[in-house]
Amino acid sequence: MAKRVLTVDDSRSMRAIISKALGTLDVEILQAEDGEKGLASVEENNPDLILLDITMPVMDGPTMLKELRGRGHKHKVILLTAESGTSVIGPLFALGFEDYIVKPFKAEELQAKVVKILNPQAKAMVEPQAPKEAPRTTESGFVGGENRPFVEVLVVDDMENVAKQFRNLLPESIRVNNALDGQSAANLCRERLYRVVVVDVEIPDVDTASLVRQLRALQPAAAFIALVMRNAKNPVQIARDKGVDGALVKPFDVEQIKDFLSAYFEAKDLVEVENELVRVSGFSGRKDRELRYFARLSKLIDEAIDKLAAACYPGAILDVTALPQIPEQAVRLLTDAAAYARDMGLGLRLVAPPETGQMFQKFVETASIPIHATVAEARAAAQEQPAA
Amino acid sequence: MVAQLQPAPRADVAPTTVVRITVDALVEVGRTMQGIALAPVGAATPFDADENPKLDCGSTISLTRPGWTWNLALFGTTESCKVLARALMCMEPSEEIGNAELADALGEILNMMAGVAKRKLPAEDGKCLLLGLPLFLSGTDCFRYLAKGIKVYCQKVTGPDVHVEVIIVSKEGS
Amino acid sequence: MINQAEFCESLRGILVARIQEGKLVIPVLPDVVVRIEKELQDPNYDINNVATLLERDLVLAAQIIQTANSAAFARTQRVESIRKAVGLLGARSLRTLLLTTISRQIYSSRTPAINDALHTLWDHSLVVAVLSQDVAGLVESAAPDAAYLAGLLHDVGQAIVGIYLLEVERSAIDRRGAHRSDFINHEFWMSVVKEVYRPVSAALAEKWNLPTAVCDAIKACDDYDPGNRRSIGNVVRFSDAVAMQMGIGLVLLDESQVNALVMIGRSLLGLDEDVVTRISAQGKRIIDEARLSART
Repeated sequence: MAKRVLTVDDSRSMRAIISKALGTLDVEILQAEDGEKGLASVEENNPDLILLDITMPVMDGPTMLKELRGRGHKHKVILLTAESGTSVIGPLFALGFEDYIVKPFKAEELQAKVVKILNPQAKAMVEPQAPKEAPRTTESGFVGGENRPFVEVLVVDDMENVAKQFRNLLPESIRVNNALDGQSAANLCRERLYRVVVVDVEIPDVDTASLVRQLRALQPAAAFIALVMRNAKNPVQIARDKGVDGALVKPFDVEQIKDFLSAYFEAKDLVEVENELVRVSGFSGRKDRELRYFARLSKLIDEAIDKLAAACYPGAILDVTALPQIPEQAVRLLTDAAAYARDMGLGLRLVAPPETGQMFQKFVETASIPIHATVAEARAAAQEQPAA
Repeated sequence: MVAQLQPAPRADVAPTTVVRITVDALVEVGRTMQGIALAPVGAATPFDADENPKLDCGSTISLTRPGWTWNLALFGTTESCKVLARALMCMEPSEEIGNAELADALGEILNMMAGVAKRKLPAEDGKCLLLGLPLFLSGTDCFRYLAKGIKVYCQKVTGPDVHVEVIIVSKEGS
Repeated sequence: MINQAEFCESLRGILVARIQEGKLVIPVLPDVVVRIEKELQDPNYDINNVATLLERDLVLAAQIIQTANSAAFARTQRVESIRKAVGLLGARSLRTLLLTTISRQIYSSRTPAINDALHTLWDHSLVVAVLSQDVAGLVESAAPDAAYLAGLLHDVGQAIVGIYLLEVERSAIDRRGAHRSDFINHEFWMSVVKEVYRPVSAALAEKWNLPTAVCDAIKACDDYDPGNRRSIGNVVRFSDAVAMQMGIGLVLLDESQVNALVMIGRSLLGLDEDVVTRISAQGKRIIDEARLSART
């Protein structure tokens, strides 16, 4: 059922504006033109959220809020008003309200605050925006929000050639945006979500520390990498001291780019954990990187087992359907995983296609691990009898 | 937290100051809610009713403090006012807008402008300005209702398809 | 026998009169800083000239190096000499660094009790400076450098007035041959400081020839300006409230007023709550590191 939002404002225009602004959300809009009618609507309709003006005839906002709380109602309220004096807003805190919007306001601010209150867990109740081809660089909108198109990497460097060289060393599937100065970088970070932001720490006339802080606030999930010159002493340590997650040295070399990819793009997709299920992704890189794949996978599986043990699961189900059939590496991987699970007090079951299962059965180290054709089968079996 | 060092402000704040403050507020409303780029034209000047025969639509609101009263008004041609109103209410340019909606929208814009003025004009003895209710006027020469033998200042504000005047009327006494 | 109430009222009157007449003694910029500023006004300034000037004041030079290596001025290369600092920083950063270092000197006193209060005030000023700079960058309107300076100096009047009150109290008591360290009660201190500090902060900014935008912001940051939403004054006001909400500084308002200021500011400046939380956490980290570095 759609959530109900009651807007209480004496201005018909304002009520119409609010209705239009929230039109893209999955909500039912109710209206009242003063506090008295607002209270009546609350009793009748029990809204999930009230947008409340302050100055209204008959009964003003503060009086309505006081009456609402006096009746024991705990409805969530956003104050939406031209009033910006603390002497008016301050005393209302004692009555309790969730947020505040000053008129005039942008529709995006209203939408973001309503969504946050009505459904704090949801990534978006708003219809997804079409990805933008070019960033807006002038008008600044509401700062924040997660409904932004995703791009893999942002490079912030005043020299265009840096981003160009970096792009040439990466796979085509990894998109790279470039910002030549702090302002452009901030604009892009407002418009998009990035996985990694690479920042030159010696851009002329830019306070890099402040820029990194601003960009971090806009990109909470992104990793930040400092770009340093080759003659910097201990760049990784310096970068960590200054609050970034790692460092890349200019000019770039192939090995450090491989490490970069491995750390931020390959590893993230190798293992997925869903309840007690640990699903392994396949390998599609060059043959000479297979060993690195198995090494990283082993580490990630151990981490996944740690999480399951911490969450008190009695056992783990390891889905290796996508695992390459390289007997020596696969068997070693599985043996280590089983041993680690045992040390952590977890049983281990496998999900694997028949040929993979047969491969494991041939080796002493892995022959005793229960193997199932599907996840459902493994789960059913685990419920009946947790693996040893 | 405001330092009480300055002498209490006198009631005769310059009308041009009030015009400037309210014009800034109108530009802000345009930018934030309406997506219209408005800009003042020149400086505030004394208002001459005879120079503006085409102003046939607008709204006015009173700002009152003990000792004096201002009237803040927003006037323009009917078409300009409709453009502002449609933008505020996110209506299409071709959508018809009735008098009631027009009155309400202009009143809301004026309310927001007056709210800004209320915050920025100095208070006396701890008392802020009191705002009246917006009054909608339309028809030829309707703005002359405001300008009867008292000081009036105005500032032109323009934007895409918009030509309006922000008018301040200063009147001693309540 | 001194009548405390009468003494306090006459003290308030003297202070207000001195400020209004421009007779309150306000710290001036050291001569070396004035000369450096003159050098820096030339876009092609000579690094060696600037470094030579700085090296003449060894105490200031050492403080500059310490500040340059602090978390607030995070750089990837450690600065170990004045020449390196001048070469690396550039005119803008050097100016900010100099003013930060000189401002810090105002917040100290030989009296332990007031020294603690001044340290708290300095921490607050530094956090507000950093937050103002970051918020100004985020809202894309106010000049971040000017926002930093306005944030840094917005409460300097509290330090100046506080120290002045202490000196007046001492001299008045000494003249009568008595000595009591708590003659002026705390409520009086706070009420006088609260009443007069803002114009004193603005007077210092003008005396130091700071940009008009900085001086105007300090005068205006008492209250929000809804007509110019992304003004530096609004940015500083907001950052001040956020710092108070974080518990950093001497809080002159009650909790509901502080919360109201933060909420109103978020809407005026168009900032998401999560963004503000992240910016605040980063600001707090800088203060924690600065405090740690001061102790070691």
